[in-house]
Amino acid sequence: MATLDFDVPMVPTGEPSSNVGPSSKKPKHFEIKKWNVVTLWAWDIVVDNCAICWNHIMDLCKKFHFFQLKTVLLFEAFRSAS
Amino acid sequence: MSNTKLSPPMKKAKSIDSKNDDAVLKSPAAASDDPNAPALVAANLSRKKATPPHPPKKLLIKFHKGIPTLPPNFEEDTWAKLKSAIGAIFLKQPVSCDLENLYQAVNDLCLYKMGGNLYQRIEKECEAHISAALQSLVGQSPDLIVFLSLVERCWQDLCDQMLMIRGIALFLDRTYVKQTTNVQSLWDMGLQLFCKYLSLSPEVEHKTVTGLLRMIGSERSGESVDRTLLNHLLKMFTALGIYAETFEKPFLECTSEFYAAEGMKYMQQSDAPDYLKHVETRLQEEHERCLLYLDASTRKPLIATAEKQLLERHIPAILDKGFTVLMDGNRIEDLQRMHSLFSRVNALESLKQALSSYIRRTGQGIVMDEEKDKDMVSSLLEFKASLDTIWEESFFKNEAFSNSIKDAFEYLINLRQNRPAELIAKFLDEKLRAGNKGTSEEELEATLDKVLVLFRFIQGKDVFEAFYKKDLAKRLLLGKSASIDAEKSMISKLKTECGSQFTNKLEGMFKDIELSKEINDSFKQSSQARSKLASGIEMSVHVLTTGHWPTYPPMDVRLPHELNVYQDIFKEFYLSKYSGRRLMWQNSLGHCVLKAEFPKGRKELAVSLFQTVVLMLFNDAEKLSLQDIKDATGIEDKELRRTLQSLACGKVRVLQKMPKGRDVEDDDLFVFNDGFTAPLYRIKVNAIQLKETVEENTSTTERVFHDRQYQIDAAIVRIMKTRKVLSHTLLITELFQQLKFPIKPADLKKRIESLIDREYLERDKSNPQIYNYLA
Repeated sequence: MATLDFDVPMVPTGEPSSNVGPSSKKPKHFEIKKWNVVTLWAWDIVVDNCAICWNHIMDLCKKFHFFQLKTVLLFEAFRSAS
Repeated sequence: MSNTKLSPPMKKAKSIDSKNDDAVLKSPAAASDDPNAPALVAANLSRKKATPPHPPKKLLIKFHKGIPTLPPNFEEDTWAKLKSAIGAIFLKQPVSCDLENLYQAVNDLCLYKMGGNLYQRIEKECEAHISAALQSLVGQSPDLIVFLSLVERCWQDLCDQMLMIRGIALFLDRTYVKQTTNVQSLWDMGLQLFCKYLSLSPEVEHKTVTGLLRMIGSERSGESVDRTLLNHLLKMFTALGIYAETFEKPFLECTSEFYAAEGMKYMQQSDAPDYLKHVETRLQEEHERCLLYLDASTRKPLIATAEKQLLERHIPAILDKGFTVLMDGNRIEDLQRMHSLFSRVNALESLKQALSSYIRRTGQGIVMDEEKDKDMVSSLLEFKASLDTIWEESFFKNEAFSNSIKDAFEYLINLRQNRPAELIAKFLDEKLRAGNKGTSEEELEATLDKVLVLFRFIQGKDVFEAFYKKDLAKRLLLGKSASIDAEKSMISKLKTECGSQFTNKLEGMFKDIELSKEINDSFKQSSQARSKLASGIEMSVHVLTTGHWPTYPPMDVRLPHELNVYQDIFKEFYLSKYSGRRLMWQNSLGHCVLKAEFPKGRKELAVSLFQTVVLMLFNDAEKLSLQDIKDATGIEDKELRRTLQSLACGKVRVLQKMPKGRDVEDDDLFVFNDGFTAPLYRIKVNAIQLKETVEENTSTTERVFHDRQYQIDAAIVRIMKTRKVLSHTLLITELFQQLKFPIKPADLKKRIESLIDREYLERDKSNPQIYNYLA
């Protein structure tokens, strides 16, 4: 801001050619070229651990967890419907 | 008998001849004309044939003459002849009567049933001479070699003499000896007499044995001896039937003493391989001795004696003295010899135990030396390879030794909890990473197989899995894998080894990577991307399944506006494709490529997402304080300090810190580095690694322990669900059987208490040591 203040007085008093120079925009130091992103997907429910074996729901006993998950999803759907 | 039959006809023939002579005498007296003589002879023959009554008359006449009688003194005269001959034989004088006559004389005596007397007389005569011969050896030369020669000659003479006597008296052997019980053949009788008088001259017998032992001792000491002499005398003992008692017994005793002394001496002055070489040589020598001059029956006890004194009693000393040196030096041949010799004295068990101790001791040096952790795995691989070579070449692929090596290695790998498992995972990471280009595919495959052998020994395989997974994640997410084929090959090996459950998540990781490529391709083609995305940033998204990947700490960060836009658009796309899901951005894993404009040149920077977020601030500001940056980025303090340190204090200084220094302090200021220069266009700005690694390792280990608690709980519930009622002791026992990783009883107790609190179990009311399962 101080720099800008400094520039402002120069404009009315300076020659027209010098006016053009200071007014040009500075180039950016950094520009993002590539971005490698990592994200985890999970089921959009509150339960994180299996109520039966206390393992993470994405972990062991996948068959059982799938069944349980299906039940939870149905329940959620029912609740949102009502 | 045939002779008996033959004799009478001859006598009859003589009688007939005499009668014929009488007839002839009569005939000339009667006849006057010569021409008539042939006619008369013919007439006589015809008369005999014509007149049958004549033969009976002659026979009667013969009988009347009476049975022929032996000449008086027949037996005595005949024996006198024989005795004289036997005496001449023993005295080595020429026999006056020819042998044929002597043979016939014996024959005659036997025919007249005088064999018994003859045998006794011959025996008595032989006894006298043999006794004299052996007696003459008493007090002979003090020089044992000379003495032995005399004994040998005495024996040889006896053999020659008995052979001759037996030849003369062959008929006696054939008839009387055979027909009479408890009578020895002439030859055997001779040997028996020699033996008798040898034992009656203990000086001679003892001196002979002593001489023989002395000679053998000399040969063992490296001198050359008369083996023929030894051979003959030992054959003498064998022939006499006294070899075992008279010679072999003292010989074995003498051998035992000799090798006991030599064993002591050589054990002191030799190293183990030289000693074993010596033993091998000695055993070979003794074997040859049996072939050259000892009786074959001696070989077994002789070799056994030598083995006992040279080997068996020194087994512990040999192993103590030399086993480690041989193993360290990979002395294949010496170890081979050791194995061969030890197997002769049933000492392979000792050798096996020495091997086990060696592996544990040496391996412990590798595993427990924390300063050399970096080299632990490669050292273990080298160690295992050299052991396998020794096992194949020196120990002849002995199964018991193979098991010994395996047991010892299992002990080693689990000596230090978790660290070897971690280092094996890191070793694999090093091999599977892209920088490892010195290795060919075949070599890599072979290395993986070898590492798998070490992996097999790990008891806490879940620790390995956790670290392997973390490293695999980095390789996959950062594109650092050298070969996807090699990666999958490794997973396949682990699957074969531990079952599909172990590698289930690891395989899931690969699926996620492949699926992510498809998602990215779809995203670029999608309407959202085309219509809404500004050009310029190339975005690549890995969508990972929670649970397949290591747990990453959630890191909040305030993204630059342009990145936020991209993120929101992708999210919209993804959730339109997969409903019921949510995405959790893992900012700590993101990384970027930046184009940087420096006054002294344009550069391309490879940086982490956090580094990106910090650097982008300097597009709008010249100077920023730590607090400014923290407020603007929202990065957690510790992480931020680390990030700034990497940007301003490392080799590559994109920013400058004021004041200068190694660490980031609260009052530090940061400015864009106008003076930045670097030889390369593309520059990687490394994150701070060392501390991060230590922290990661610790948290990974802690996570494994946490997971184990769940596994213990699950195991307890499974067991109790089956049993319904079970005592504390039995429950603990069964848990140790089911669970594969190391556990402490105290930890088990904690888990049981936890399950009781959560009402899976209850204590029995009557007996606190018994648990009941609650449905």
